[in-house]
Amino acid sequence: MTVRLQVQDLTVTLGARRLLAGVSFEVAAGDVYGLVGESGSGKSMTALALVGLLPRGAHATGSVRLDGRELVGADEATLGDVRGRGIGLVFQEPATALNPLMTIGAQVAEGLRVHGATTAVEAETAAVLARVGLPAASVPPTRYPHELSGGQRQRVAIAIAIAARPALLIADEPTTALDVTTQAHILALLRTLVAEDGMAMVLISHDLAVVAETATSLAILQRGEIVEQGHLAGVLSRPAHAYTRQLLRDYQLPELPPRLDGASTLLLQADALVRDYPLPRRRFFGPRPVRRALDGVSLRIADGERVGLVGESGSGKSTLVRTLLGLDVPQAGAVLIAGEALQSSGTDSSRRLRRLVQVVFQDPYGSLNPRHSIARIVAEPLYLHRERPPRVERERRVAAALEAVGLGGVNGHARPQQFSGGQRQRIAIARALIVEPRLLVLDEAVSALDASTRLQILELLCRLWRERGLAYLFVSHDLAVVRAVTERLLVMHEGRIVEQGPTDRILDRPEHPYTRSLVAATPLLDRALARRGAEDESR
Amino acid sequence: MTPAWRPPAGLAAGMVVLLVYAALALSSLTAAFDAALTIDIGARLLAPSAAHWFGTDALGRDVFAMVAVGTRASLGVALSSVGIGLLLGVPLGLLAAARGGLVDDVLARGSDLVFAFPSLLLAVLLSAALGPGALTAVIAIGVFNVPVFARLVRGNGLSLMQRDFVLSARVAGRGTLAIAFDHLLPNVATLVVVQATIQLSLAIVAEASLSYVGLGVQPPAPSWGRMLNEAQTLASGAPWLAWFPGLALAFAVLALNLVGSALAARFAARVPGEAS
Amino acid sequence: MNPASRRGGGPHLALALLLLASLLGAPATAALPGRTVVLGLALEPPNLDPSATSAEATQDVVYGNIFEGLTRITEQGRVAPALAASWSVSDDGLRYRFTLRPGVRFHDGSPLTAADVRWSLQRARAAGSTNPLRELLAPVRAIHLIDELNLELELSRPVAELLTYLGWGNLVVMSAATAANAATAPVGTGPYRFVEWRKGDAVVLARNADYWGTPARLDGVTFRIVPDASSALAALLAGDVDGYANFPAPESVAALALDPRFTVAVGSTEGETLLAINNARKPFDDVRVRRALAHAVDRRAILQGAMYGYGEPIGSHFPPHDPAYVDLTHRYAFDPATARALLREAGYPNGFALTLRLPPPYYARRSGEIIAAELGAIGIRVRIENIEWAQWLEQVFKNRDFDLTIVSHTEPMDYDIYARRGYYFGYSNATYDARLAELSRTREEAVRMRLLGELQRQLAEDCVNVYLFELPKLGVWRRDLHGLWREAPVQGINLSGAYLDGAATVGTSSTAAGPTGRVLAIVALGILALGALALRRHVSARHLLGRAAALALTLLGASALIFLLVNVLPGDPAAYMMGLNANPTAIAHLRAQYGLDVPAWRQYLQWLAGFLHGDLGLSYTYRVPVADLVGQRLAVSLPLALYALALSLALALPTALAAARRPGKVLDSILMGLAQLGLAVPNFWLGLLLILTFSVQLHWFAAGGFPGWDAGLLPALRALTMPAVALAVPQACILARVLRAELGLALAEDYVRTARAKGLSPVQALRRHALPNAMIPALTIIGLQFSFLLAGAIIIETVFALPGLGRLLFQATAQRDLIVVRSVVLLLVAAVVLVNFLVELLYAVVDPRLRDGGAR
Repeated sequence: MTVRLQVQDLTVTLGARRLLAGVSFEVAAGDVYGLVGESGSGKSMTALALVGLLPRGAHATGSVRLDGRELVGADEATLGDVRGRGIGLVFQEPATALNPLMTIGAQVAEGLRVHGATTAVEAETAAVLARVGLPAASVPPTRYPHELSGGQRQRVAIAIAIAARPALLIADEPTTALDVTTQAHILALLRTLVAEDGMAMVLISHDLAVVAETATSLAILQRGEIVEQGHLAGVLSRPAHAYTRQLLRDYQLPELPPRLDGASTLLLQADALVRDYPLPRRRFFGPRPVRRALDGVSLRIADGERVGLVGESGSGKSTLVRTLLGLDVPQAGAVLIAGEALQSSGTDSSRRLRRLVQVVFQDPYGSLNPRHSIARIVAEPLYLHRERPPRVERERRVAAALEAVGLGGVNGHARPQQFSGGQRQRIAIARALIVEPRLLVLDEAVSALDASTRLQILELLCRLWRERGLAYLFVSHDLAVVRAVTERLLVMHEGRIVEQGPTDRILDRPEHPYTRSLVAATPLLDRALARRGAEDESR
Repeated sequence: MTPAWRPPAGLAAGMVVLLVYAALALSSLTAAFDAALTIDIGARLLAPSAAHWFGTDALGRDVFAMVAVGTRASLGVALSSVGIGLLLGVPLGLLAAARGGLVDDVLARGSDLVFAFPSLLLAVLLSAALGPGALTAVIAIGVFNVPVFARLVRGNGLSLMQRDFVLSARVAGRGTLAIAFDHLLPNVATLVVVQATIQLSLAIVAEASLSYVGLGVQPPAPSWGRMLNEAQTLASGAPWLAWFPGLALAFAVLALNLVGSALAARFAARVPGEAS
Repeated sequence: MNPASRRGGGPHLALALLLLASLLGAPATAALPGRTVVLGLALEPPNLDPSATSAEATQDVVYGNIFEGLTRITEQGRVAPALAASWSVSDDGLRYRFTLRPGVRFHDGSPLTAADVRWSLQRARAAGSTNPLRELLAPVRAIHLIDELNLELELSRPVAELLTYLGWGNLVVMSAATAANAATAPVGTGPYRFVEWRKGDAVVLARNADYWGTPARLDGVTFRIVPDASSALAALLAGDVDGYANFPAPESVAALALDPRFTVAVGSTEGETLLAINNARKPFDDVRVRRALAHAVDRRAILQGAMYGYGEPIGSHFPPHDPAYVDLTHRYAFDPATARALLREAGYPNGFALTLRLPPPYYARRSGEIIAAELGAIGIRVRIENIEWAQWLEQVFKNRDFDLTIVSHTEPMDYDIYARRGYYFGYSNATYDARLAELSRTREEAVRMRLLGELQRQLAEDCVNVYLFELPKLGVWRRDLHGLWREAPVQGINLSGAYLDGAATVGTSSTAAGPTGRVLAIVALGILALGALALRRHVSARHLLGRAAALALTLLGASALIFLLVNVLPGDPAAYMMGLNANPTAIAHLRAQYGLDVPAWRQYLQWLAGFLHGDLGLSYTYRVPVADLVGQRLAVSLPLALYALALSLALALPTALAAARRPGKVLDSILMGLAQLGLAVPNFWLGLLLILTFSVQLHWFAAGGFPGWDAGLLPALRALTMPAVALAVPQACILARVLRAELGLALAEDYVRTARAKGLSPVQALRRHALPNAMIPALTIIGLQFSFLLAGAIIIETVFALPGLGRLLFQATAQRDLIVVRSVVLLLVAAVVLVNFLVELLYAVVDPRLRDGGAR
């Protein structure tokens, strides 16, 4: 196989800061080269350096050769020619990567025209779009980006990148913003295109599993340096560098503690919940259409039970959570906490019931009021007591709650901005714990954290469960995490719970077709490595 | 991102100019200024000199003293009208965001109504209805400021309402008012401050415009707008009459704009809830 | 969307373009050749019917020029024959027999007969008459027609001044056939005939070729309304006007007198300027207090400070140029010590507080400031309250709710007002009344002189008012203009003998009405075209209908608010319109005529109903349909707004693009710094500086005024250029900054990176991707700016004396013409709402995300 991209000693500096330090690697035609690292490790900077689109003030040295042509230090005309024709780029956010004011056809055609195509541009545009799975018959090129789904938009972005048949395709976190099933389709498409066109490809991802499923070789980046690189199976099965080993270790999720036995009283009960959201009227006098977010959802959670809830975005998970918390009122059905319906807020009974169920949200940055002190944030649920405890008692409880989440001794006057994401999530948990709830709703509570922090939070949750016998409703899109933390699983799809049962059983032997596709699409490191190992042996 | 065309010195420069204005306004209360403002027909239309830095006007009054006293009217009217906007608009916007429903509807319709009037038109109409004067100008400009702040607060408040920390507060049993004032207010405060500087500069121009056409501050109290009107016939022979009040006006607006831009740039780096 | 509506867009657009082309290609009517002059007028006449109003501006334009009476008053103040060639008076003074000139014709060609004279006088003295001199005609018992050219007036008691009265503008002769339209289309017998009245801008007269006397030597006269004292000088210097019969800025007169281009003729008027005192109110009912005021006021300082030395001090209510004048100016010498002593004597050792209400004329406002300072010196604390004419008439003149005021009484021989009970001075003195009655009976000149002297002394002795000065007539006109009157013994600007020597003149005249209809049609078609375009682009009809409904609701709310505000405005419009000497019956009559006597809610509903039919009502002051007025003004304001908007865009767009091309570099810093500076310059100050630079110094542009579209596209655009620049520069700075910021945000967007990754150059990415996206938020600003430019131009229209909508509104507010105010405000509000709607349509056209009823 011919080597198409050669990177040697690529260094990028921004003022006195070194963003990349001596990065070297090669990619051959038909190869997919994975670049793995945490955010800030220099992955994206590498991609931008390759095409000369570094941010203002950044400066690159070293060598980047594409089919023998040197790109570092090349003039703008050369680079303009290389971009699109020599190197195609796909970025992370399909929602913003396309110009909202132009039709998708025009955006693809523009890439062709800028490289000199004048004749039959429209036919070629249609052909390119068809190649990425958007045939004109079902998705005409006259569509605008907002009329497409996220996966379709990413296909358009890929079409733009490959339109001029580049020698190298760089995909920077191309599937991070997508659901797992869509992710599987996009990754498959990329693999097919690479094989068909004999392109070289650089796949950038923070997700080891995604890279493991797609790439042939990989490099591990840490703080702008490649700490380890080589053939995929080789690196992942015999990691040489400590950082690689740590990355792999982070994938080992905590062992599920055994289920507590004993009488389990019913804590939360939802019966046949229905929630519709009105949509704009299609016709002026026509009936107002609705989107049914919850379509007869029933569930029960017993004291001390750890229940998982999985589903893709738009499946109704968030609506269900909001309804269970009493933040949203269903059109039909009822939510009972400890056998009682939640009254309107401000009543004694509502305060008592709300104390039983607390919540931790996904975004550690958005869930803490940036203008409040940590102590005030953690103490806030104490308003759920009819008589708010006196100040000394409040301070004691806040300290205890922070202690319980492993933040003993932090300064209560500090603001959330002074804490890391993981610490903030601990603070959010402390806030939930301060009223000693029986059920903790964890709404994607670890999704926004990097792998090592996620592991720590999951361990904290396990410890809390052991110590307090808390029940969890663990909402997530990440099957691996759900398997590690929960013992019973609910699968949501299009507003319904399509399957439920013991977590292991569902993930190992899914029955519902949707669950099956979900499980199949989820990239798993072990599975990928096993497959790659088999491929290597057969080669 | 802080674009480089916002001079980093803008805040300091703007604040210094504003302090100078404040000092002028205060010092103009002293007796020395009363003397300078006495009508002295013999000393009229003198060009700027050491005795009269900005020259004298048609009645022999010292233009510098008049500009200084005019500062009181301009800043007074501007501060009061923006104050009205803040005091009424911010709580209204908070409630509309936190509660929605009727308050929100009333606010939406009400601000539609006020915004349907081109900016100075309402002021002219009110001045005509209430009679010209500083108080009328304050009310007329203030009325316009209410929906400005209310909408700003409501818009940002609504997006805050979707944020997890507000949801957490609701789970923590906090009521509408508590959420509005404990959670929304601190997070929109910076935006409100930035907007207030913008509104202040607009109010200063509006007051001057009203005074220019005789609907604002009434004589004998000097005001920049009125001075400019009186300067118009005399300006060919006594151009200083047109220059100094206009410059005073422009510098005040410029200073406020600089402060506003600088504050906006500083706060932009700390938009609520984002990583710092 | 159905196919039909999709195709709809094309033809509409084509039609709109066609219309636009026809507007731009509109043929320019040539100005009248030769010798016409343009005279400046400070106040616009409320209407052109001299028999219905005592407004001085009406007399200025029509008296002696369009209309004539039986007699006329010469520049020297003597009675001379006019339409009556001769007359005889019976010995008892009760019968006046007039013989008319033969062969006199009205401008419409009909001959003047004794019947016309009788009809005119009967109309003036009829029961429902609104003629200000109606009461003076009360002694007329009957008017007998003798034949075609002879008639006789029979009196119940002698009226010595009758022949003088008949020479005043209110008693001119009109024909029964045309008098009803005199307010807008006056038809008289004078040396000039009426051509056109461009409301807010000018009244145009042309020579009457069939004049019975010496024909006028000028081809025509245009009275241009220059409402601001401030812009008067600029207009004169810039050559917009050839002169002023009465220049409203005395401070400039001395400089003008030195200017070889101008003649300055300072004369006298019949205007006694008073510090009027409310004699009926405490403490002014005490003559000692009134005298204290008189001693405290330094007339010389006032004449110097306010009038720049023009005008003559007076000591009583009598013009110094009259033979019967007695100099009483030394009766109350300027003496603060005496004044304080008098106050002490009256029981006010520490003074007291009072309010000085000042009407708009420059002499009142300026004198007021000085008097306030002078009274302050004797311990009287004066609060100045500047009020409009309407409020002055309502509060001071009608309701007598005032302490002091300053006003000039310009009617000749008006000393009878001191005998009127209920007059606003609150003065009453039986001796005075008796002498006045005796005067009216007396025809013997020597006795009359003695009586007039006694009247003057009585007023001075009682110190009814503080008599300040006789208002000067500050005539300023081009040196080659001759024959204008220096003195003004009677209201009116007499141009019968005016002529120009030498060169042809400036000034234009036209006969056709402005292209209002065309302008409105273009706007309507523009909206239609946009709508069609929007529909083509799949904007859901439901969405549009919903927005339209919200629009209608806003307008309804606005109309209610406007009606409420306007109807609590102070002042009685009927009283204002009728002028100083109006009688209550006439006012009541007028009120009924305009439907002001029905309940407010019915007035509101009638107004709304009319509005929906395009009937905006009838203007009080102009007595023409408001729709016509608005149309004329819109023909100035709309093009001005569009011009300014185009300039703003033309300035902002390249600036923002140039700045955004290299963010943070020197050019960016410089451009945005300049924008920051420009933003701080208020537009009216900029306008002032522009006038000073380009009109007064460089003479590149006219300082103000508008020649009308019929003068041709280029002259009209030229007149709008400086105002448009003054409006556009600050707006352009805002727009440039917003666009620059939006471009900065757009440039940071992923799609720009995608575009660059495709191989587009930075400039291509900026133009093709960042700019369209940055324009979307900028659209909102542009929409806001348009409505600001349309209505907010009030100030700029004042600075440049443009007859636009904002100016109309401002004048109408001052004139208390509530029919105009409420309709214009609602119209402007409708324009704003409509523009917002258009912007929303435009959003849907340019932003595909908003089609199909999507929300933003």
